[in-house]
Amino acid sequence: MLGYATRKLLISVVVLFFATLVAFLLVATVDPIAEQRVFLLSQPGGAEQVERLEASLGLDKPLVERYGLWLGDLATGDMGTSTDNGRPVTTLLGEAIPVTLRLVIAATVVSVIIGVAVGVVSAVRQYGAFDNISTFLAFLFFAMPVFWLGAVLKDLGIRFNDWWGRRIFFTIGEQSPRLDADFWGTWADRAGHIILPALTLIAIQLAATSRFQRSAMLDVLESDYIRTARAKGVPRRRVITHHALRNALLPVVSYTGLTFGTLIGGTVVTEVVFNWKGMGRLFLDSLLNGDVSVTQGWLLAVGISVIIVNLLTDLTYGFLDPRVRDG
Amino acid sequence: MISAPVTIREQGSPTCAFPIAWHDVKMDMRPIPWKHGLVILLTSTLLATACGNDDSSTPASQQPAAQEPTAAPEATDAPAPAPDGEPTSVVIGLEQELTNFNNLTAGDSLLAGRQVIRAVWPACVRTRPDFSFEPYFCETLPTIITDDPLVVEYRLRADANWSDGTPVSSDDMVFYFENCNDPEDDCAGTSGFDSAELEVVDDKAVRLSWPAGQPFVEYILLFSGPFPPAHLGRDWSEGFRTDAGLGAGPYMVDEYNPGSDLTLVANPTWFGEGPHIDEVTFRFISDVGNLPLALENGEVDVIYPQPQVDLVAQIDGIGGVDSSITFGPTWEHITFNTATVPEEVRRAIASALDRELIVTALMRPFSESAQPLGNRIFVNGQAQYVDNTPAEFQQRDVAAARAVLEAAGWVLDGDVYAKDGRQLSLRIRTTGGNDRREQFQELVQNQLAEAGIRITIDNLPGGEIFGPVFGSTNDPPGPPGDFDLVIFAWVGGPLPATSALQVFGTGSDSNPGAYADDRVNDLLAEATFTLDLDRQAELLNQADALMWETLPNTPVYQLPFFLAWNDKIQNIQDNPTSESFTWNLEKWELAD
Repeated sequence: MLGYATRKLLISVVVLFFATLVAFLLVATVDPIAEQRVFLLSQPGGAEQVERLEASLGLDKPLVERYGLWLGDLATGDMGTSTDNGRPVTTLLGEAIPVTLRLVIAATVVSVIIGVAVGVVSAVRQYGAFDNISTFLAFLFFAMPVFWLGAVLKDLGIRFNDWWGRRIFFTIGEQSPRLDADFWGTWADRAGHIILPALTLIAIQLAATSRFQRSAMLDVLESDYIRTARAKGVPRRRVITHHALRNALLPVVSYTGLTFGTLIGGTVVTEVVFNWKGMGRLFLDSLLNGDVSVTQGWLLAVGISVIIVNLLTDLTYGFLDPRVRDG
Repeated sequence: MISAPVTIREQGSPTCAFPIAWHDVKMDMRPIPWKHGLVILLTSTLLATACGNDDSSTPASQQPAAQEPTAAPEATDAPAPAPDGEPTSVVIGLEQELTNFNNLTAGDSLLAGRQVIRAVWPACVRTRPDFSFEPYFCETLPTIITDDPLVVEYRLRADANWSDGTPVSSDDMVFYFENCNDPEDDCAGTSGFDSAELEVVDDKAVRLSWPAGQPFVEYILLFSGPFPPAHLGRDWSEGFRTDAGLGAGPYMVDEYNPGSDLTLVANPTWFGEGPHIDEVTFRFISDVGNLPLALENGEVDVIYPQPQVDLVAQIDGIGGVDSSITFGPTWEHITFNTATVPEEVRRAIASALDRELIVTALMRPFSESAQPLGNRIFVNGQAQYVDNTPAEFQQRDVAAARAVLEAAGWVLDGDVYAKDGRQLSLRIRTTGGNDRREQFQELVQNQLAEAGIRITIDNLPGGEIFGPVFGSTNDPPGPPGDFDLVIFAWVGGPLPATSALQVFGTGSDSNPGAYADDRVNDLLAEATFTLDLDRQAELLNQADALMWETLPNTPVYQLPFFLAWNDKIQNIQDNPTSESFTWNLEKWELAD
C-alpha cells in the first residue's frame, strides 16, 4: 500500500506542475491591457505609455521568464492582488473555498448516501415500481437546468415559510449577517441557508449516483460468486449488504471523487442563484471584471483541489480493492 | 430583515460551539443500528457544513457600537418592528458593492459607494429629490462674498464632529481641495477646484475664489461629495478602500465583510435629528433576479434594482411591500448629425415622430405617469422644468412632415422622398444589445417610414458605438460623427449650465452632431456666468426653446428609478439625483 501511495503521490506532483503551466498559459496568452492599448495608442505619446504599462505588468518579458517569476511568487504564497478590489488573491480564495466546500460536502454526502440506497434497491427490485419511478425521477432531475431548479426551490421555500409562519428557508447567502445566536440558533440559520442550494445540487448528483449504483449493483448481482453465496444458503440480505454492495461501491467511489473535484469549481450557477460567495461566484466575477490574477489563482486552486481529491480517491480505491494497488 | 436585532458579537467569540461537555456523554460501545447511523451521518454532515469556517464573517473594520443591544437573536422570525427600547435594524439589498469608501477618487466614484457613505461622511450641501438644495454639514448654503471676482465661503456647522470627537473642520475641506484641484489628481470631480484659490478663514470655514470674469456657477455643490477625515493622515486614494475610518453623519461603519455585507450603526456624535433605526445593513446581491424573492422572504427590506418591466410587476404582487417609480435626470433622445441631416429633415422627423406612443410603449409599463420630455436642459421633476415643445411637435403630424419636406424640394419617389438624385435614407445607430433602445429604434423606423423617410439600423455592440459617434478620444477610436441619427442618454443635474454648453456649444467635443446656433451659444455662455439661479434657469429655458427650432436632437423620455421596500419602513423616499435613495436615511422609521 505504501508503494502504491508513493507512486500516486509522485504522479500527482507531476500533474500539479502541468496544472500550473495550464493555469498560467490559459490566462497569460490573453492580453490584459487590450482595451487600454487601443485607447492609449490613439493618443499622442500613447506608445510610450503602453510600453511603461507593459513593463509595470511584466508583459515585456518572454513567456518562459514570466512563468518562472509567477512560479517563484507562488512558492512564497503570493498569487497577486485583485485588480478589481485590490485584495490579495490568496485572501479571496481563502474566503471562497470554505464556502463552496461547505455546500459541496453537504450535497455530496447526502446524494451519495441516498443515491447508493436508491441504486441498490432499484437493482435488487429491477423493473419494479420503485425502480421505474426512481429511473424516471433520475432522468427528470438530470435533465433539469440548475438555475430553473434553484428558482423553483426558492419559490417553494418561501411558500413553505409563509405557510409555517416563520422563516425556515433562506434564499440568499450562506448565513444571516450580524447573527449572534446560541448554538441552535446558529445551526438553524446555517441549515436554513444551506438546504435549498444543497438540494439543488443533490437532486442532480443523486440522479447520476443512483444510476451508477444501480448499474454496478446489477453487474455484481449477476456474478458467479453471488450465485455461489446464494447456493450456499447465505441469507439474501447478507448477500446484498456484505457480498454485493461492497464490490458495487467501487465505481461509485471513483465517480464521487471525480464529481467532488469538479464541483468545487462547478457550482457557478447554484452560487449565483443563491448569492453564495464561493468559488463559482469568484470565478464569474473575475471573468466579468477581467481580473487576471484572480482568474489565474482560481484555475490553479481548482486544479489543485481536483488533483487532491483524485489522489484521495485513488488511495481509497487502492484500500478497498487490493487488485488495484497490486497492479 | 427588519428585526429586533441581535447582540453584537464579541470579536473572536465562537459562533457554533458544541454545547455539550464531554463528561455529559455516556459512552456506549455497542454497534449503532444502520438506520440510526444514517440519521447521525446526515445530521452530522449538516452540522459540520453548517458550522463550517466562519472566516468570511470576520469584519475588515470595526468601530465601537453606539449602543449595546441586548435582545436575543430571532433570525428566523418574520419581519417585525422591535418593541420600544430595543435596537432596530433594516437590511438593504444592493446590486453593486462599493470599491472604496472614498467615493471621490476617479476610479471608485460608484453610485453604490455614495449610497453607503452619504450617511457616514460629511458634505456641505444636500440635494433634495426636487433638485433643490439644503445645507447639510454647512450652516447655510455657501455664501457669496463678492460676485466678481467670485469669492464663496463654505462654513461648517459648529456642532459637526467626527465619531472620535474631533471637529469636522476646515482641515478636512483643505484635504479635499488639495486632492481635487489639479486635473492630474485622483479625484472624480476636479471641475471648479481646478481654477480656484483656497483660503482658510478659521477652523470651520474656507473661502474659494475664482479669477475675475471666470465665476464658477456650480459653486454650491463644491465640498458636497461626502469627504473623508483628514486628521487620520491616510492616503486619499487607498487609505479608505476597506475602512471608512470614522463617521460624522447619522451613522458610522461598524462592520464590513467585503463581498458580503456592510453594517452601519447610529453615530452618537451626529448633530441632527435621528437616526431612528439603530442598524442599517447593506447586503451585496449582484444578481438582480435574487432581489425580489429576498424581499418577499424578508431577507432584505429595501431594494433599488435597475428597473425591468417584469421585475416591477413581480414586486407589485408581493404583499407588505411598497414601491415607487421616479423618473430621474437620465434622459434618452435622438441626436441628429447636422452635417448629414439638414434642418428641414430634422423638423420633418420631429413632426412625424409619435413621442407619446414611444413613451407609452417603453416607459408607461413602469408607470402611467411617464411623459414625453419637453426640455433638453432641465428634466421633468425639477422646479425649473418647462415643457418647451412647440405646438407643431406636440402631436404627431405626418402630413405636416411631408409638407415640410416638399417645401424644401424633396419629391416622393415611390415610398421614399428624394432630392437631387439622393433618396432620403438615414442610418440610426445605438448601443446594440440594449433591448429598450433597439425597440425605440424600431418604433422610429416604422413611424418615419410613414412619412417617406427610410431608416436603416446600424448598431455596434454596447459602448462601442461611442467611438464612431464621438471620435478618437473614445474606444475604439475613429472620426467623430459617423451616424445620421443616434440614440443614447444624457444625464441632467441640478446645475446644468456648464454641461449644456458642452453638449450644445459650437465646436465642443461633447457635441457629436456638430450642432451650431450662435443664438444658443450666446444664451448658454451667459448662463455659465450668471450666479442668480432664477435668471440662469430663464436663460437656459430660452436656449432650449430656440433649440426646438433648429433641433440638435429630440428628447423623448426620462429613465425611471425603482425603489421597493417593506411597508413597515416610513419616511423612505427616492432621490433621483446623485444622492440616491439613502439621502435621508436618518429619517427612516419603523411603524409600530
